[in-house]
Amino acid sequence: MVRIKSVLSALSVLVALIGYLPLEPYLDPFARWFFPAALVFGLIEHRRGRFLSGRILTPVSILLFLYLAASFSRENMLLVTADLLVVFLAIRMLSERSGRNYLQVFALSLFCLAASSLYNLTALFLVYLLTLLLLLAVSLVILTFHSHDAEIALTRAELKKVLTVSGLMPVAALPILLFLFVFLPRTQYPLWDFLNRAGGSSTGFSETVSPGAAASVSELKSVVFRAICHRVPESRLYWRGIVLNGFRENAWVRLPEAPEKSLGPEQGESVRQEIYPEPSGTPYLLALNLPRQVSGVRHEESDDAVFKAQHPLEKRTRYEALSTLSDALRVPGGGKRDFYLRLPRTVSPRMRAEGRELARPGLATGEKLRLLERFFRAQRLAYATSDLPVGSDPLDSFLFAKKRGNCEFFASSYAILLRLAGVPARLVGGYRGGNYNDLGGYYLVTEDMAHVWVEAYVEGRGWLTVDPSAWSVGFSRRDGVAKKLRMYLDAVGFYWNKAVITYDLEKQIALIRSAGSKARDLRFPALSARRLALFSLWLLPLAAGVALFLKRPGTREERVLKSFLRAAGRRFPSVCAEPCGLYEMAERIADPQLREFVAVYGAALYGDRRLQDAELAKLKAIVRALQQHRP
Amino acid sequence: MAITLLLGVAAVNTGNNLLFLVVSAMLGFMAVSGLLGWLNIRGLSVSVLCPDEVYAGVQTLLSIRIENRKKLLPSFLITASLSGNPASFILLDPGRPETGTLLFVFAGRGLHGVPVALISSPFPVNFFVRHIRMPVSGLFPVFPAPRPSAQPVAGGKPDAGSALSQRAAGYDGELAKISDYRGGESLKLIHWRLSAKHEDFKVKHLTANACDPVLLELDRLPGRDLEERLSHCTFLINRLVRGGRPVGLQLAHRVIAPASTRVHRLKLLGELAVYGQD
Repeated sequence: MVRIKSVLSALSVLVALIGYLPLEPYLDPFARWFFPAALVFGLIEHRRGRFLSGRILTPVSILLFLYLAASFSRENMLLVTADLLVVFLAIRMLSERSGRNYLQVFALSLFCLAASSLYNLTALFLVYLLTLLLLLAVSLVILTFHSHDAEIALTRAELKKVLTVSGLMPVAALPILLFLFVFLPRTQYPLWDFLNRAGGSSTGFSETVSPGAAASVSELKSVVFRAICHRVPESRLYWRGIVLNGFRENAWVRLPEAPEKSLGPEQGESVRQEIYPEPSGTPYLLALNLPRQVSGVRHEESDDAVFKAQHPLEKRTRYEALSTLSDALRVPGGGKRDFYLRLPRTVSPRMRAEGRELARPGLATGEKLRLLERFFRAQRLAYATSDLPVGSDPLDSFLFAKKRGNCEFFASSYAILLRLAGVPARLVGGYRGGNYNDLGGYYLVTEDMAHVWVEAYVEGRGWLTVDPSAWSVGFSRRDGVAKKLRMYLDAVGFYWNKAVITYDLEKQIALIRSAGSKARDLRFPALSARRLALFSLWLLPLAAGVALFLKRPGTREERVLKSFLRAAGRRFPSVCAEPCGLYEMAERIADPQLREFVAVYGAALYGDRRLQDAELAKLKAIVRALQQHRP
Repeated sequence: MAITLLLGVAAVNTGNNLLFLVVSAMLGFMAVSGLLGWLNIRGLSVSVLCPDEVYAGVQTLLSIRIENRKKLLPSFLITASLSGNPASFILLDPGRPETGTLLFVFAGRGLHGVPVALISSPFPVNFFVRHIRMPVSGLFPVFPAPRPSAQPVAGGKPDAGSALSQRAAGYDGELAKISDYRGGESLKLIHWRLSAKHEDFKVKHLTANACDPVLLELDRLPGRDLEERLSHCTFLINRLVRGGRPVGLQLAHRVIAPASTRVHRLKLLGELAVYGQD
C-alpha cells in the first residue's frame, strides 16, 4: 500500500524544483541559496513528522518581504519579484503539509516559471512547462484524494491507475494548448513591454575598430543571427553590417558622410534571405554582401549599403534582405576622395614610408592594390586571436614586429596603407562565414565569426571588396566542421524562435486570413464510384480490425478460454452444446487434452492468480491441437 | 482560475509568447479536467439491495451497488448518496461492480422505491464537486413500525409459547406422565423397560411441541387508528412466530391461514405493509 500523503509530499518537492530551476541563474545570491536550504530543512523536518508553525513563518515571511522589497525599483522590479516568489516558495516548503499549503506551492511554482519567461526565451522553457504541467496535473489529482481523506492509502495497482489517468490529462490538453496559443488575442503594442528584457548579449561586432585595445579576443559561440537562404559559395559568405569610414583619435568609427549616390552592386547572383537576428543592442541590419534591399523592419538606408533599423534590435524579430553576391559597389565618381583619405592621429614612420613607396606617381590603383597584397604576403603575417600586439602603436608592431593579429589588424593596417598610397579606403564590419544547417535550410552565424574587411575605391569600378585577412598564414574558417548534434539542437532553437517567440498579432491575422481564404476555396475532389469503392476496400478491413479489437475479451485468460471453448465446441459438438462447467465438461468428454487444459486453467482460476507465461503457452498449444485434429 | 486570468492579463500586456503558452496550457488543462470530471460520473449504473425486513421509521442498512460501465476509464472518488446518506467508493474499475452500505430510514409503510441516487465526485481537481442524479429501480415493501402490544396473547412466557405446551398432549414433546396401557395408544409410546418390571404395559404421555394457532383479527387489536393497530399487529406477528406459534391473519375481506415459518411471517408483514393502500 502507498500512502497518498507521501506521494503528494514527493510531488510537491518536484513541482517546487521545476519552479525554482528556470529562475535560479537570475536570482539574487540570497534567494538562490535560501530555497535549497529551506527545501532540505523542510524535508528533514517532514521526515521527523515536524514542521515550523505559522507563528514563526508568518513574521519571517513579512521580514523577508520587507528586506527584499526595500531594493525595489523600476529597473530591478523583475529581479525583486523573482526573488520574492522563490523565497515564498521556500517558506511554503517549511510549513505544514496541508491542502491549502500544497495549492500555494503549486501556484508559486507556476508563477516562478512564468517569471522565468521574462528572462529566458529558449526552447528549454517548453520542457519545463510540459514537465510542470504533467506534475501539476498528477499533484492536483492526488491532492483531491488527500482532501477526501488525508490518511488514504492505495494499492500499487490503484495508484498506477490514478497516475495514468491524471498523467493523460496534460497529454490531452496539448492540442488545446496549441490551438489556444495560436488564437488567444494579442495586442499590437504591449503595455508592459519594459518587463521583456533584451535577452541576448551585445554582438562581437562593434561600431568602432581599434586594434591593440586588448591582447586577446574572446571566441564567443553565441548565436548572432540565422538566415534562411540557399547555400552560397564559401568565398561569398560576408555578412555586411556597418561601414567605418573615418577616425576618432586612432579608432575607426562611422562618421556622417556627405551623400554619395550609390549605383548599386555590380552584376552578380541575387540571393534573398530571411534573417532572424538574436536580440542585441545594435540597430545595424546584417545581410550578405552586398545588400540591395531590406524589408520587414523600419530602417534607414545609407549610400554605402548600410541598413540601420530605427530602433536597436532588442526584441526578437525578422526581416528579409535581397543581396547581390558581388565584389564591387558602383558609385558615380570620386567626389568624396578627400574624406576617404583622412588618416588617424598617429601613423608610424615605417607605415608612412611604406605608404609613400606606393604613392609614387604613375602607379595605377589596381597596381597599388597588387603591390600591397604582395607586401602583406611577404610579411608572413599570422592570423591569431590571442597574444595580439598592444602598446602605443599596435599596427606598426603587427606589421613589422609581432606579425600576428586578427582581422582588425589586417583590415585596419591595410586600409591605412591604402589611404597613405592615395587610394580611398574604408572598413566594413560584419561577419564572415556561417554554418549551413541542412535540416532547417539556414546559415547559423555566431559571435566568433565577427569580421572586418576593407573596401577600396577603384576608379571605374567603385568600392571594391578586399579581405586582407585572407593573405595571412594559416587563415581559415575557424569553425570548419560543425558538429551535427549542435546543428540539430540549433535547428530546434531556431524553429522555436520562428514559431513561438516571434509569433505576434500580425502573424495571427495573416494566419486567420489564409485559413479563411483556404476555407472559401475548399473544393471536395470529385469522387468516382470506383474511387469510392477502392477507398471502402481500405476502410472496411480497418473498421473490422478496430471492431474486433474493441470486442475481444479483456484479459489473456479470457481470450484463451474463449478460443478453447470454440475449439472444443467444434470437436465435441454434442457434449459442448449443453451448458456445463469446465470440470464437468472434461469429465464427460474424457479427453486427455481437454482434462489437461481444465486442470491448468482451473488451478490458476481457483488459485485466484493470473496464468503464467509457460502455462499460457501450454494452453495455447492444446487449443491449437484441438483445432487441428478434427474427427 | 484566478491565476489563469492573472497570467492571461500579464501575457496580453507583455506580449510575451511564453506567458501565452502558460495561459494556453492552463486553459487546456482546465478544459480537459472538466471533461474528465464529466466522464468520471457518467457511465455508472446504480442499484440498491434492500434487506427482507425493513420497518418504517427504523434505521436500516442498505447496500448500494455501483458498476462502472465505461470501456476503459476507471471512476475515482465516487460518493453515492440516498437522501443525504452517503457511501464512498475510492476507485471503480470498468466492469467490476462495487458494493457499499449506508444507513437509511423509510418514513412510512408501503411499497417504496428508493429516491434517486445522487452521484458526486470532486475528481479530478478538488475545486468543485460535480453531481449527477441517477434513478434507482425497484420497489421494496416497508413494514409498519412494530409497537409493543400491552395485551398478552395466552399468558405465560410468550416467547417460548410453553405455557400451553404444559397442558397439551402430543407425540414429540417432553415426558408428562406414565399410565397403564388402555388399548388405544400407539405402540411407540409403550415404555418397554418400565413395563418389564410391572405386570401391565406402561404408556408414556408426552406433551405436544406444537402450539395452538392464533388468528389475529386486525380490527379487534388495540389502537386508536389503523396505523397503530397495524403496528401492534406487526409486533405480535413477529413475537408469536419467533416463539414458534402459527399465526394467521384476518383482514377486512380475507383470512390468511396460520403458519409459523419465516416466509409466512414475511407474507403477513407484507400484507400489513400495503393494507389499505390499494
